[in-house]
Amino acid sequence: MTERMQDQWLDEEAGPVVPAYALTRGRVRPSSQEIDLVAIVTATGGPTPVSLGPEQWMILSLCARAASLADIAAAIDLPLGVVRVLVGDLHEQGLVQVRPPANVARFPTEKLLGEVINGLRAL
Amino acid sequence: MSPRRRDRPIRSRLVGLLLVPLFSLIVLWVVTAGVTIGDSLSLRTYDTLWSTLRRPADTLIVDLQAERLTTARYLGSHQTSDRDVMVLQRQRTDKTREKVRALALSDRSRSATTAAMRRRVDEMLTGLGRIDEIRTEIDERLASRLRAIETYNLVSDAIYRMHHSLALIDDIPLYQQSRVVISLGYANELLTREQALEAGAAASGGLTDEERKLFTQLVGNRRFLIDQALPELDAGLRQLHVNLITTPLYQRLRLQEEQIISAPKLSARTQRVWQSTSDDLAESFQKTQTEAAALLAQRAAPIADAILRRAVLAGGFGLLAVIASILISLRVGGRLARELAGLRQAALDLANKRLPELLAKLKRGDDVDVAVEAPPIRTTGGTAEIQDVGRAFSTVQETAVEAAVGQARLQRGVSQVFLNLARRSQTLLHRQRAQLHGMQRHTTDPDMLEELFRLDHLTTRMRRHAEGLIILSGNAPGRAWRKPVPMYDVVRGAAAEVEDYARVNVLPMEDHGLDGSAVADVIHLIAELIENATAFSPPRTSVLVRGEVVGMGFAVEIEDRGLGMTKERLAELNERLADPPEFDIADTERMGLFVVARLAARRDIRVTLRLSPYGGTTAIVLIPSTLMVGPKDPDLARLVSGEVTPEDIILASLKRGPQENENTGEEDRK
Repeated sequence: MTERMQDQWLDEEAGPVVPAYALTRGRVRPSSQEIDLVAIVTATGGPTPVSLGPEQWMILSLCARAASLADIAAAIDLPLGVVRVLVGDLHEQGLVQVRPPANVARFPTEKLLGEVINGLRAL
Repeated sequence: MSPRRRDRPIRSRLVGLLLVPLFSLIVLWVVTAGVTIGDSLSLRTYDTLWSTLRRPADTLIVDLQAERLTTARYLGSHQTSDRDVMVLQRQRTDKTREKVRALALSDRSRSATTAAMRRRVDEMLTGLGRIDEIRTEIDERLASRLRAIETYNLVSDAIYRMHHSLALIDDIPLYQQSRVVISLGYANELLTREQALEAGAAASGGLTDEERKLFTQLVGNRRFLIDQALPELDAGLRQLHVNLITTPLYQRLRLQEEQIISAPKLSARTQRVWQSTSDDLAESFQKTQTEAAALLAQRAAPIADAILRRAVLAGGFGLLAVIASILISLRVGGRLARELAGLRQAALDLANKRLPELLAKLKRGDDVDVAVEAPPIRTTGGTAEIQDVGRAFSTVQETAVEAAVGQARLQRGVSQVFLNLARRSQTLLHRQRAQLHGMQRHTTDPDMLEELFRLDHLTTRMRRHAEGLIILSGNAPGRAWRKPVPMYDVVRGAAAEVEDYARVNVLPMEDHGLDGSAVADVIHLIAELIENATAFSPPRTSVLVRGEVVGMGFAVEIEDRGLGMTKERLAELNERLADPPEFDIADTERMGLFVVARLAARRDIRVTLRLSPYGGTTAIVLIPSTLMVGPKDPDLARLVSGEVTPEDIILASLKRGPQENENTGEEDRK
């Protein structure tokens, strides 16, 4: 077995300075409510306490305009589960609003879509 | 290495060693030279005695004999013509006497004579004084012929006694011979006394009974003296005197003497014959005496030469020998002392300087060339023992250095093995973490995430131990950052590496960054301290970590709610932290503390432990401002200000894509 011996890791290669589990102190579920992957998060613009960590600051600034949980996770390069816990913490403090995703029923059905295709073909 | 009070340098020992023989040699030389110089001085004395006392006395004796003869004749005849002759002789005698007196009393003579000699000289001078008394008695006709003659005889005796006492020479045969010659001279004196007696008697008509008795005595004494003296003389001197005695003249004299003794009255003719015979004989006697004296002087010359030669030899060559011995001793002693001093210096240098320096060098891990660092000890000079000691020291040094180098090499080898193992573990753990992070991103299931978090935590802790080993081997842990990292992240990263990380509460801190190169070290250092804090406090209590900017840099406080420790223990630990002791493999208990001290020393960080007001312990880490970057740093500002634009989000997503692909690729390669 030949292994590539490497003993220097620079910057990103060295991995995150703070491991993901440390950001939530090991918690994997938000303390209040389940937040969906596509839930829309919006900052309430309320007064921010000083005890917020930098990641939470970043979340807050990202959701100054509404952003989905997945978007936020992608933007700050953190696992979704971690972002969910952090957003949950912010929500608990009343700093963000979490809007549940649009109802599944309101999405067009397969039948309706088939009719739209047919109509388009008829053109 | 101060010498003990009784220790003395080798130089003084050598001096002590050489002092005794040298001193003895000098004493011997002084004695020898003193004796020979004394001899030559006594030679000078002999010469002085001869010229100031003996030779003048000889002349005086001749004059006295003449005066005695003329006086006896005058006392026999009482004729004016005889008287005139006597007076004339007296004047001659006086002149000689004055000369003798002056010379005898001179400083030269006085200083050359011993007390015993001086007594004889004084006796003679007193005798000379009596000449004047007897002359007055004669002139006033108070003295008989016999008395006058006897008085003169006494004076002569005093002179001869002096002669005997002065005949000192440092050669026994010569001394004996000269004494015998003096005795023979006395025999001549006796002959002249006979003449005087006979001359007086002839003028007055015959010897009185008393005179005859004296004459008989004189003849007997003279013959006895000659008979005694002759066998004692050696060949040369004896021949001179035998020649004299065997002449018909002497035989005739003997016959005439017997006639004088036996016949009461002598005929005028016999008297005349006696007179001429005795005069001739006295003259020959005197001549023989002079010849004998010359012969003696001739013999004394080589003795004097020998004495002088001895003085030169003993004094001069002895002095040369003494000087040569001193010079050789100094040279040999000095060389020996120098050689020993050189050896001593080399040995001291080896023990006090070179070996310690070499060991320090080895301890630092520097490469050591044995041939250069431990050159053989050089000794000067050619003393076999000193050379041997020097060689022995060289061997000792070589062995010691080789042992030390071998030990260091072994230690380095062991440490290299540890380092290799640690690096391998680190590499594997790093890959494992990367994979875990990917899995964390892909899962949406909280339960799954929780499992992954636990695995991640375990992996992180394993990595910390691997890094600890690397640091103990004196190397840097492998992670590095080019840009500054916020202190808050550093501290949280450190807390995440601890087993009980959930109990650690890191308070948000000011936006200061830590120089990227120091990040790995500081994370490790703080992690060790937090680990200690959690380990030494009850499980339910939390550990508080605070950070703030201070005058000298950045301070991180780690405070636990434990039971604390005694002040002595605290002081001991602080001392260890400030001055890390040499790492002891056996002391695993304090390994964490040792790592902290070593990292702190490397980064110039100060770590202090103190009692917390809550009863626990507070560790204060003071990071110097040289390692800190202010919040205005553009690299840092972007990360922490939160001003992230949508473009950043898109860029970040794009950036992440290929990274994940790379991770997958790496997995494939395994």
